[in-house]
Amino acid sequence: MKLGAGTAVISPKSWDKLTMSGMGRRIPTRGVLEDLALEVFVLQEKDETAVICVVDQLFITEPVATNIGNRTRERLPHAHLILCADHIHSATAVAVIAPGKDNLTSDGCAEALEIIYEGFSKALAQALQDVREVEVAAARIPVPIKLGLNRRAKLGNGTCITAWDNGALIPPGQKCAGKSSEDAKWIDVLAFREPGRTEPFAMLSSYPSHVHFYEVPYFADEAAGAARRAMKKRYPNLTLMYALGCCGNIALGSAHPIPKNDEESRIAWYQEKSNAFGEAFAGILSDALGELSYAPVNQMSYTSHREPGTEREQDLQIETLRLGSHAICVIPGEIFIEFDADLRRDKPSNSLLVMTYNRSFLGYVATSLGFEEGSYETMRGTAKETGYLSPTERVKSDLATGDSIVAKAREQLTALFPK
Amino acid sequence: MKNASEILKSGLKHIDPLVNAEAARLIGDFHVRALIPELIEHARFHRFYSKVTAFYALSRMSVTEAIPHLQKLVDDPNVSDDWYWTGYKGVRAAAAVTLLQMGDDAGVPYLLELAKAGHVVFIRWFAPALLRLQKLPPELAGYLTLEKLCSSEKQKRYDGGEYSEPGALCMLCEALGLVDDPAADERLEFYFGHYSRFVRGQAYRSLHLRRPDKTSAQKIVENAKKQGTDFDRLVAAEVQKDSATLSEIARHAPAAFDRGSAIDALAVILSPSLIEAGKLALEDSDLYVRQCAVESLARNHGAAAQKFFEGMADKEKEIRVLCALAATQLGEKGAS
Repeated sequence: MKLGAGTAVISPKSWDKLTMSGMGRRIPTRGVLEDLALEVFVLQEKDETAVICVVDQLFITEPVATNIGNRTRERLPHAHLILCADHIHSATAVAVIAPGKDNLTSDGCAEALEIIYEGFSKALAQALQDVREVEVAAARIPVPIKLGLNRRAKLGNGTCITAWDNGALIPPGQKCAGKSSEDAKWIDVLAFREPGRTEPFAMLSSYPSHVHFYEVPYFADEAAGAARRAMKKRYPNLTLMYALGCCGNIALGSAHPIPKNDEESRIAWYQEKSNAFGEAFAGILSDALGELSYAPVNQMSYTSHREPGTEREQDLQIETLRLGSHAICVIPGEIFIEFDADLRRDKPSNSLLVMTYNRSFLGYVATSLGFEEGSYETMRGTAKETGYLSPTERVKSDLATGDSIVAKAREQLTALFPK
Repeated sequence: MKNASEILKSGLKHIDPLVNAEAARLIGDFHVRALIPELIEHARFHRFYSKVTAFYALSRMSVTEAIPHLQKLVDDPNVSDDWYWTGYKGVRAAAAVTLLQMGDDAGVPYLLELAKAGHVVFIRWFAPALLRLQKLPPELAGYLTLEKLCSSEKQKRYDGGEYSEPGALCMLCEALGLVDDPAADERLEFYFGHYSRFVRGQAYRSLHLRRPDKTSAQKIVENAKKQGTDFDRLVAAEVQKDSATLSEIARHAPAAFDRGSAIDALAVILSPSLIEAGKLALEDSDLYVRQCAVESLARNHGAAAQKFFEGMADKEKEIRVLCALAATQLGEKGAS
């Protein structure tokens, strides 16, 4: 198999005309604190070509996916495009909100979108020039420290409250039973090196945690960028593609609390904590690199399923890419960490790396118990329009989503890895 | 148990804010008055929203010297302002409600501001605590009627999801158990059909509180049987004072939360079976179950429970359980 890697900066130029995505904003954008970026991997094996791209964005919407898809086909007519966001909240909101809506100006939005599209074309060209023979290694690397934490605190009455960031607000008379489920205790990686070399030149990582370092008035690449920079410092020739695993109920609460309310303190907190995360993340990966076992890959195959949406539901796209004995499963939404275990039940492939936040732009996907426990993620639901459904009806509808995603993904894995 | 005081102090300073929250609650529940200075410091300077449990602990011990600090916290809670959410407002409201519990009305204007806005912090998260006040300020009482409590479900963001998700609805059901309006009974029975077992459970408890008669108990038991979850069953057993079912759930339920809740329920109904079930639960593999057992045994059996805990601290690894053991040892009275 061959692989090439490319990257591009996609920071907006007219930042003063744009708002940032995620959690709303009260103050004007001041500029760019850290450049936003996207990474592209081109994988080739015999007649099959796959392009994997992760973008510093909150979500990927269909118009963005369509444009990037068209640009991919211009260069690679038969390539399979896997496109995901890393759910950064300090990115441009253009991938979420269409031009002319919200408080975005049409000019700024169109320009920012064009920067993303041009960035993709540039990174794709770079990746195509970089294509070389590779060996592949996969690993699930334990995270021995507290990084991504379960952000749902369970109360004595059985329900959950948000324990993200500086949470949780425990009501009078209630005790805290603990977290509703586990923390993010692993990083899945696929590493690619040239035969005969000791170090990889490309790596795809998947960590099941929100990357949240929002609430600074600057465009910034949050935890994903910090991890990429920390790896670059250690391995100058390595391109890290930072993807998210099943992280709907996990966030980087370990970086909190924010020390003070003023902007200067907030930025200092952001820089200190995001850099600390990056260093910790890169340290964990670096320690494991020497242990990886590489092998040539002579088989690549791809399958996808697209469930057409209804009036209130998004299209549901699930993709699976087989690389020899390894699998990459690409699913929508902010799916709860419990589903990760469901996906890999009975070990469908030798290794499995899950990428979330794909082009389906689905919201939170809770477990059935999670819906009963409530809290923020379940009130958001999975639907794009919920106005005419009562919350109870909406939950009934959304309940099936997680299981449906897992079932379809496992169906694909079984097809690609017949016993 | 050695260094019980130091264990609780380390719990208050633990890196996990949920551990801090529990340490503060335990200090208050078991009246560890020796740690009041640490509790006040935690309430003033800690930056996590979960520090509100220190406010409640100060109220439980009637620490009047904390009043000036709580008055300041109503205006400046010394936490990050999550303006889009409930943390910052909630800490302010928690300070205001705590002041009311201690007879000080300095926080009423802020609570009134939230009430007028129909804010979820007021109408859901603090409604039960306000309705439990011996003297609910009349200007707030008008915002805590059955009509006001129930009319907010379809308001605001997320189609009112912040008012009607199960956590918020549990608080509503708790409030409905306390509101002075007979029509609340019917509303609670409506929630018997909710998709969340935890909302149903709170509806059972609140209806039983309002109408502790056989007819209501029978309705609860029948509904719980129909729903079929361990949590439904255990709340129904609590209502019926059915120690055998609670003991069985405490021992065999697959979910640790259900096992711990069953132990709590045995304590609530003052069951003699608590000793046997509690002693077994002290050996449970889950820390929450062990913590429930420690607290429940100490709550119901006072100093006599200490004999059940002998040697436990030496092998216990979890800070939360150690904090519970420490609080029961140092506390000046059992928690209520």
